[in-house]
Amino acid sequence: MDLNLEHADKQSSRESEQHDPITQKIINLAQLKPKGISDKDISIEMPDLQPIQKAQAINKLLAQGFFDLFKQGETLLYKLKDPSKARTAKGADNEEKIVYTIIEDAGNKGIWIRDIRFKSNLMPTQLNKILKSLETKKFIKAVKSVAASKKKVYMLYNLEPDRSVTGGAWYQDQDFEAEFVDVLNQQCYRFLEQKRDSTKDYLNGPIAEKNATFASSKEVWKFISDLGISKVKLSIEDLEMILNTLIYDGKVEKMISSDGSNFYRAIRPLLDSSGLVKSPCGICPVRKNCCDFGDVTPIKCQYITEWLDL
Amino acid sequence: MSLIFEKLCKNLLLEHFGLIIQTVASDMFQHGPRTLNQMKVTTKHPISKIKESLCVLIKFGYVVYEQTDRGIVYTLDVEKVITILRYPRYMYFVKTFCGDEAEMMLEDVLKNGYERASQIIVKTYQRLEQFPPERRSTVPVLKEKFDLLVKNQFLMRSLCSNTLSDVPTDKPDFNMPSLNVKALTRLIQGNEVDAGDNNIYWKINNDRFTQDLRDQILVKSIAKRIDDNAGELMRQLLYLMYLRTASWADTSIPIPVTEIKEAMKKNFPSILPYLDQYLRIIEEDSSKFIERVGDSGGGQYSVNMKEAFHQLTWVVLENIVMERFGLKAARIFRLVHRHKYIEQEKIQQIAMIPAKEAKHLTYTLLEENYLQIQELKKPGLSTAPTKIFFLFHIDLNQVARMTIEHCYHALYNIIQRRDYEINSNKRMIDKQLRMQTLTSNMKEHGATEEQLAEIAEMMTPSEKLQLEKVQERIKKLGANEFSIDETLFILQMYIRYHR
Amino acid sequence: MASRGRGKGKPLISLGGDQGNFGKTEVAPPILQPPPSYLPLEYKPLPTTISNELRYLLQLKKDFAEYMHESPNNVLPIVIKKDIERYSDRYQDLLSMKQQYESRYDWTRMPIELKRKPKKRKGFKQKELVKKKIRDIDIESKLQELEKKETIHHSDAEEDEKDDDELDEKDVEDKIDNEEEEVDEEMDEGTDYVNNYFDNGENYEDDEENLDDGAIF
Repeated sequence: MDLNLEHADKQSSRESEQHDPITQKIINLAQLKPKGISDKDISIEMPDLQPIQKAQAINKLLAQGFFDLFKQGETLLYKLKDPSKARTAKGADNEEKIVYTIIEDAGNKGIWIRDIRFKSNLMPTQLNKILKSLETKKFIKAVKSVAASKKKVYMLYNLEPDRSVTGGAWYQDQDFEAEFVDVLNQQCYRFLEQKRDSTKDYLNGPIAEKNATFASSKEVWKFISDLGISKVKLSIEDLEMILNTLIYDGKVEKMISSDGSNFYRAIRPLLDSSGLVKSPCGICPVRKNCCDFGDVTPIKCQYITEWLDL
Repeated sequence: MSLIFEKLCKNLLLEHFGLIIQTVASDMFQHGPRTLNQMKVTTKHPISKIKESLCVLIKFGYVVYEQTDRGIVYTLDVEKVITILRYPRYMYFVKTFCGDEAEMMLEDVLKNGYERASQIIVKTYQRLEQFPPERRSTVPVLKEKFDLLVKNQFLMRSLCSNTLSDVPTDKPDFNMPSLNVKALTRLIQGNEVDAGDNNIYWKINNDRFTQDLRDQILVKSIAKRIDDNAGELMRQLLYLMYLRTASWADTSIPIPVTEIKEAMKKNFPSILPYLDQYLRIIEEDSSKFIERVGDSGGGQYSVNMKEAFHQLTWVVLENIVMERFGLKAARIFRLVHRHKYIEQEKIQQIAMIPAKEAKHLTYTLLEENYLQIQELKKPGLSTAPTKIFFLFHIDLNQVARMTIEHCYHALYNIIQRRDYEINSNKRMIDKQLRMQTLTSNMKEHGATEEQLAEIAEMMTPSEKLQLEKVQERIKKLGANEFSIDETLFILQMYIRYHR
Repeated sequence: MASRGRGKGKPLISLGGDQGNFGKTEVAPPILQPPPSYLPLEYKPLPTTISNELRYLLQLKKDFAEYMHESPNNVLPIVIKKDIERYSDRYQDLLSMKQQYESRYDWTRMPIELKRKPKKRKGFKQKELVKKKIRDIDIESKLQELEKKETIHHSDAEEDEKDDDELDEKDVEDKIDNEEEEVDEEMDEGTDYVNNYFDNGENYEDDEENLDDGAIF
C-alpha cells in the first residue's frame, strides 16, 4: 500500500514540474478567466484537442489541486486555484500520509474519527476532506461498529474488520441476534442439565459423581455444532460467552482445570423461590402508592383479588 | 423503626389481644418508654384498662418495666411482638422434635406468657383426657416430656423480681425444680396442693427457636445443592458447632475431623466411607457454608454462619429480582454482583442482551433501588474532554433492608386483607359455626338423621359454595403470611450477622 | 420454572438528562384521564401449594389467634347494658367486672401499681372481704341512684369508662372531685352485698378457664 502512494506522489510531483503543453495551455486559459473556464472554452481554445486528452488533462489538473470545480447552472466550470492554495494542497498530501499511517496503525479494529483528530492535530474540516479523499481513492473504508451504533471506524480498505467491530457471530447486519443467543443459552443448559441428571456414579463416591457432571467447553461446542442450529460457524470462545451468561443466570458453575481449560456444570439453586414473590405484594408494581387510603389499598387491591380468585 | 413495621405489630396485637391493648402498645410505639400516668393522658382509656393491658403485655414478655426516678417506666419490646408470626412454627418444630404432648405444653406456655411446670402438666393432662384413651399420657410421662422441653432449652425460666426489670439475664436459666408427681396427680383431681414449684415459671426461649429455624435453612440448602447425605452431614456439623461455640458467633470454633467421624459413627454410619469427600464438596461449593481451617487432627472445619447468610441473602435477592423483572434482569443483577463495579456497555456485552433492552432493565433496577450508581471522573488527555464513567454496583445492606421493609409491607397488607375477608363474611362464618355447634350438640344427645339433615339445610348450597370459597381465600392469605416470613427470616439473619 | 420473556414494560417516569445515554424519554401519549392505579401485571406471583405441613401450621395459627382473642387477655372495654332491669343482673355484671384480672397474676412478679385496689384486692382471694368503707348512707337513696343510673342511656363506652376511671382512681389517689362518688361506694357495697349473697364456692379461684365467661358484653 505504501508503495502505491509513494508512486502516485512521485508522479504528481513530476508532472507539476513539467506541465505538458496541453495542461499548460489550459492553465493559461484559466488564468485569463479567473472566474472559471468551461469545457466549451477549452474546446474553443484548443479545437484540435481530443476529448480523451482533454478529460485526462482536466482530471490531472484537478487531482493535482490546480483547479477547483464549480457548477454554473448546467455548465461545469474549472477555476484556477490560488497558487498559495496549490501549495497547501501539496502539503495536504503529506497530511494525508499522516492520516493514512494513523489508520493503518489501528489495524483491523479501526479507529474513531475523533481519535484520528487527536493524533494528527488536524482541523476537523481538513481531516474530513482528507478522509473523503482517501476513501474515494479506496485506500481506506468506514465500517459501522456494533459498539456504538452511530459511529464508524476507519480502517485500511482491504482489511477484514475485527469481531469487536462487527459483533462477530452475534450480529447480523449490525443487529444483535437476541433470539439466537437465547436459543443457544437454552440448549447449552439442556446439555449440561442432562449430563448432570444422567450421572449416577454413586459407587465411586460423591466426588467422582460431581466430576462426572462437568463438561468442557469443547464438549458443549461439539454438542451445539452437531445440533446444527447455527448458520454461522461458532467458535469455542463464542460458546464460552454463552456459557458465561448461564453462570450469570445462576444455573451453571465453572471450573478451570489444571491445563487451563474451562469446565462447566449445571447446579441446583441453594434455595427454593423466595416466599415474598409468592405474594401479590411481592411483585406489585404500584407498591409505592399502596397504603390504607386512596385507590391502592390492600382491601381494594385488584392484584390480590385476582390472585385470590385463581 | 419504620411506620409499616409499627402498623404490622399493631395489627398482630389487635388480632391476638384486642383494641385496648393495641392502643396502649401504640402509645409506647409512638413515645417510647412511658409511665402509667403518661399513658393515661395520651390513650384516654380508663386507668384500670391501661393497667390491665400492661399486665397482659408484661406477662407475655412484650413489655418490660424498670424503676426510675420518674416512677416505673414501661417499654415495648417491638422485636418480640413480631415473633407472634412464628409461634405456629415453634409449635410444629416441637411436635416433630419432641412429640405431641410437648407441643401441647409449649402451646400452653404460649397462651399464657409464662406458667408453672405443675400447671402446664396438669392442664395438658386434662386436655388429653378429651382424647381417646390410646392418646392419653400418664403424669410421669408428661413430666418426662416437660423435662425434654427444658433439656432442649425450648423453655426457659422466667426470671423476674418485683423491683428489677424483666430483662433476660445473660445466662438463661434452665434449672428444673423437683416436682412432686403425687402432688401433680392431686392437682389434677382438683385439689389445691403445692407441687413444689410455687414461684417457678417457665416461658418460651425465643432464641433457641430462632437458632433452630436458622439451622434448618442451612441443612435444607445443602441438601438441595448437593444431596441428602450432605444435608445430614451439615446437620451434624451444626450440632457440633452448637456444642462448642456461642450461639450467634460468626463462625464456629474449628471442629476436628476426628470428632466429626465420631459423631457420624453414632448417628449416620453409612456416610463414613465418603465423609472426607462430602466435607470437601461442601467446602468447595460456592455457598461457602464451611471452610477448612486447619490440618491437625485429620483436618479442621469451621462453619461460617456469617458467610452462609451472606450467600443466602444474595440468592434471595436474585430470586426476587428475577420474579419481579425477568430472567434478563436477574442476569444483569448477578453480573453487577460479580463485577462489583461495572459500566453499562460491559453489562450488555457480557450479559449478551441487546443494548436497548439492557439499558431499560438496568434503568429499572436502578429506579427500584436494586442497583446503585457511582460516578467516576477520569481525567483524560489534555486534548480529550474529561470522561465521566457511570458504574453500577450493589449495596447489599441497603437492598437487604429495603427488602425487609418490603416484607413488612406485604405482611401488613395480607393480614389486613385477611381480616377484611373474615369480617365481610362474618355473618356466614358465624352461621356455619352455629350450625356446627348445633350439630355436634344434637349428635351427642342422639339426634335423628332427619334432624341433622334439617340443620344442614339451614344453609343453601350456593351459600355453602360461597362459604367454601371464602374459606379457601382466607387460607391462602394465611399461607402467604408464612411464605413472606420465610424470606423475612433469612434477611433478618443477614442483618444480624452483618450489622 | 416457566421461561420469562424480556421485560417489555415501560418506565413510568421519563429520565432526567443526567444519566448519560441510557433509557429514553418516553413521550406519554396525550391521555385524558389520570394513569390507572393498577397496571396490568407483567409478572405474576409464584404459585403457592399448600402442603400438609402448611395446612397444619394454618390450623395452629387460627386456633391460637382465636383462643387469644377470646381469652381474658383480650382487654375489653366496659359496657353497661342499658336494658337490664334486674338488680341481680346488675350485681352480676359488677361481680364479673370485678372478676378481676388481678387474680390472674402473681403479684410477686408484677409492678404493684398495676393493681387497681391493692388494699382491697389482697384480701380478695379469700372471699370474705374487705373492710367496709363508710356505709352509712341509707339504702333507699342508693336504690334511687341506681335506678337513675339505669335510665341513663348507654352513651358511648368512653363516658362509661370515664365513670369507671374515676371509680378506680379514688382508692389509689387522694380524693379527686368526682360526681360519681356515690356510685363508687355503691359499688363497694354492691360487692359486699354480692359476695355475701352469692356463694362462690371453693373453686372460684381455680384455673383461668373459668374466667372465659368473664368477657363483658
